[in-house]
Amino acid sequence: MQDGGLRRTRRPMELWDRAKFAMALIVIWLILLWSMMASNPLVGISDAARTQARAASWVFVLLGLEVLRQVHFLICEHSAGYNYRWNRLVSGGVEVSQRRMSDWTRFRIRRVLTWVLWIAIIAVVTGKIIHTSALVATVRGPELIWHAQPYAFQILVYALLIVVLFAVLLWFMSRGGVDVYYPSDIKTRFADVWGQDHVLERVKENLIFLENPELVEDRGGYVPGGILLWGPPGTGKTLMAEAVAGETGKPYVFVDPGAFLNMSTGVGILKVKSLFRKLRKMALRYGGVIVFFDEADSLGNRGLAAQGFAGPGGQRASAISGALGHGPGCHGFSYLSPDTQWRLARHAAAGAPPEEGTLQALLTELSGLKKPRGVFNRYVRRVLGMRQKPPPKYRILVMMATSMPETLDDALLRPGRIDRIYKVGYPSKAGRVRTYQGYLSKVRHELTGEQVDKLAVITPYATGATIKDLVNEALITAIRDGRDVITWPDVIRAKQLKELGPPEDVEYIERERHAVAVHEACHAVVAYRTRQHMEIDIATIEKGGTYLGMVASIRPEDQFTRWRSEYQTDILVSLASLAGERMFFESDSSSGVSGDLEQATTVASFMEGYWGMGTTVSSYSTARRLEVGSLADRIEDNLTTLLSRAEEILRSERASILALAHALESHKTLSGEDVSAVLEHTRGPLVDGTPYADAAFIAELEAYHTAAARAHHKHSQDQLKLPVPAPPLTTLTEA
Amino acid sequence: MGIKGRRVMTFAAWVCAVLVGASLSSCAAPSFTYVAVSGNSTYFKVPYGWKQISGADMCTELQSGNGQSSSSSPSASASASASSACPNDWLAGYEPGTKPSAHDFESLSLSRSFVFVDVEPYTSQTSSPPTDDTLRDFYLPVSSAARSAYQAETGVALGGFKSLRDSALKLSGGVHGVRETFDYSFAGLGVDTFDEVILANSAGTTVYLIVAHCTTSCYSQDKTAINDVMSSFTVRSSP
Repeated sequence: MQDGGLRRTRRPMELWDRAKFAMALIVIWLILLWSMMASNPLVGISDAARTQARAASWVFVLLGLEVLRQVHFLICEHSAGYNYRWNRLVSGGVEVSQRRMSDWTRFRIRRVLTWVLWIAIIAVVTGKIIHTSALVATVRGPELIWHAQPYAFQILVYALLIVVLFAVLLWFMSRGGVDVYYPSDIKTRFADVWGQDHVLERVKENLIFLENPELVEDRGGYVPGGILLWGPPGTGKTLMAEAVAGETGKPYVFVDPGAFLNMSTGVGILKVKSLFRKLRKMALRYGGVIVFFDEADSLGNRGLAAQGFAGPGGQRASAISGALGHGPGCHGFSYLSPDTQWRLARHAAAGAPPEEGTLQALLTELSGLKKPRGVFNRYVRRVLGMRQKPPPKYRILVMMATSMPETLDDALLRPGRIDRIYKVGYPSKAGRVRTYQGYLSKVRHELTGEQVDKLAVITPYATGATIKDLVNEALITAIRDGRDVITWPDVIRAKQLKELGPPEDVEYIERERHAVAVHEACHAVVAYRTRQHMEIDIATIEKGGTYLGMVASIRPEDQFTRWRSEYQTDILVSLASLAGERMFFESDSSSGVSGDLEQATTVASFMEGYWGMGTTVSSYSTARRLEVGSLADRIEDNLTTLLSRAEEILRSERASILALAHALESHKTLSGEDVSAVLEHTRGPLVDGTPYADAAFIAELEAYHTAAARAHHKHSQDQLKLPVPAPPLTTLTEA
Repeated sequence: MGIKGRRVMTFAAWVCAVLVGASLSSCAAPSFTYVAVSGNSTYFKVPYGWKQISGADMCTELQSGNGQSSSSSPSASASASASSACPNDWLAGYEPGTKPSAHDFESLSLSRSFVFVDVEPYTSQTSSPPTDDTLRDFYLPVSSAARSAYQAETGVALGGFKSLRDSALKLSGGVHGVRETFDYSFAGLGVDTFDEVILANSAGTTVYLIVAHCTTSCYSQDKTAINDVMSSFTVRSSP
């Protein structure tokens, strides 16, 4: 019974968990019966049972308590009211004590108590068997067992000790990296995963199949056994896996990324085999098990040779293409020929060092032959000429997460091993809004719904992790200012800090400050006037670690296709810095344009050579393969044309550029709204743009620029006085 | 109800059935109390409810010699001879009723059955292992020769001897012995019936003895129970 993802009744216990203590007690009682009958040949089973019922009445008392406990659990599983009252009223004190004690301490204590309990039970039973006290039995029991063995066996045991030493050594080496969580160990739920609803639905579906395999098996299908979650870091892949662990009624095995790394020869294989032996055991015991390999790329790749040289159009290319989720006609890898896909994949694969044998062992365990189980089934039935029972269906759901799916081995991704591949991409705007709401709900804030919406818009590639970080940074910013409530400026400051890093707090000399401001203003003006598919998010001349200034733009809406006109404006914005510097500094230009030119050239190259957005339509990949044609001239022609267009735009926007450069010099960092205010001569959040409509002030700015340009050419140390706009008339009147 | 639910219910039904069955079968008292003298591989059973008298109490009683019977009675002298090395013996008595008494060990004409078991090392002047004839007269003089010898030695006439059973026993591992049932009457004390099983191991180093006795009428009344006790007396192969 679930309500909004919150279970109101107790999760049903597995049959084994329900029965194990009762069975243990029954076994103990049977051992006591056997002990009595074995120690006295006169005793019949009836009298032995009657005698032991009196002598070992504690077994029946414990059995009665266990039955009561199971009845209680059964009621908890079916009655939400009873379960609620029990949890709130009866076990409230337990929960309080649990809160006082860390999970780790509770785990250790529980483990110690379990050991003590079992040792006590064994001691009591042994004591009964050898007719001595439980305390003496703990010492004498092993001794009696040892002396009861034939001498040959004792010799054999000594010989086996050497083997055991090696086994222990290997066991120690193969330990670690694999953690098992049982239902209710993990508190994360699907409701905690925000912004990835589409993937979440798919993952839930797999979970349903694991819980009720009959749903698909009764109809002739099979339960998908593997899921790969791939996508950029921080998008919530691991969180999603955690939520699966929290929601499932099956055990959850977490395999550390480093579990199979740096293994000495054979240990990795041993570890894989031991892991899957454990998984199979758990799958049979609990009716299913989920294993999660985090950062699955660490499992390695057997390299090109092992991919079967699929070549163009081969399996490798299609597997990677499929893995990356690009269908025909979509943006992405699909514009590349299968050959290029294959070559790129090969390059990617070459980056992952193969782990000798470990991956092969993993592949075999994932879909290899399964041996029939049980000594009777495997040996006795065979000796008797009977047909062995087939191996049982091990319900193991393998989940993997990676940010580099292209480095995974082809064989790993084939259906039967990994049946379903889901991209956990950047959250959509709605997802980001939900994520912001989620994290903001955990702190005190004054953000309105509109502001949260705006925040989601201006952080287009934000992931769950970056959103969480941003909110936390905003909180720290607020705390630094002596407040505990996050406001909109806190969020914006946090965003700038996260995106730009902390400013280096370097003061430019005036003429350089002006040059940087003009450079960034040219970018901003061209972007503002021509680039309709993006909005300016921030413009700054504060020096960072790797830049002097920057103009960052964002997409106001989620868009999945790109057009020629958009790429052209991207190039125009990039080339604006070179065109502007040449225009404002009399054909002089700085090395600061190198990054812009690199970006412009890259886009132009793809437009010309691959996307059919240039002057010709031929594909450069084919031309290069056939060793015909040249791309460089076509790219240069395009860039030159676009540079001329940028110059034209800048010439017509000279006043706007000087105005924006002035605003940047005055305030160093402007938001997109401030840039708009300067260019539209309106009031922005920080900057009042109205003075820039004044022709006299623009003339002052022109004069200031002329002085700065002169100082630039002469490298003079003249002090330049930044013009200050006159106060608005209304303000003067009030004064 | 799904398959899983049915499995749970089936299992629960099985557990309940086992529990109910075990509880019902265990409710009644056992028929016998089973005794194992593990070190000597000796086993026997006595009816449930018979109380045990510890070997220490019996030893004390034996050494104090303050039984009801006179020291000249064959029972007292036999007990003394049988348990001359009391500290090395395994000795225990069993008696029905709520108040068992070590005093009954040496008493005659008991109105309730008294059973005692003694496992002791066998020592002989001839150093030869005991034969069945030797064992027959080990506790009380049963053969006519032994009775005559006893009378000649002590001057006490043993009257009313009547043999009810005299059978040889051969157990596994070379254990052998006899089972004797006979009446004795003592002056002024009425007729007592003795039922005894005396065994020796193959090496002749240990003698295993179980004796039940009480008045003839009491014996007739408890015959079945006494027979169960005597026939249960088992010695497993022992060096």
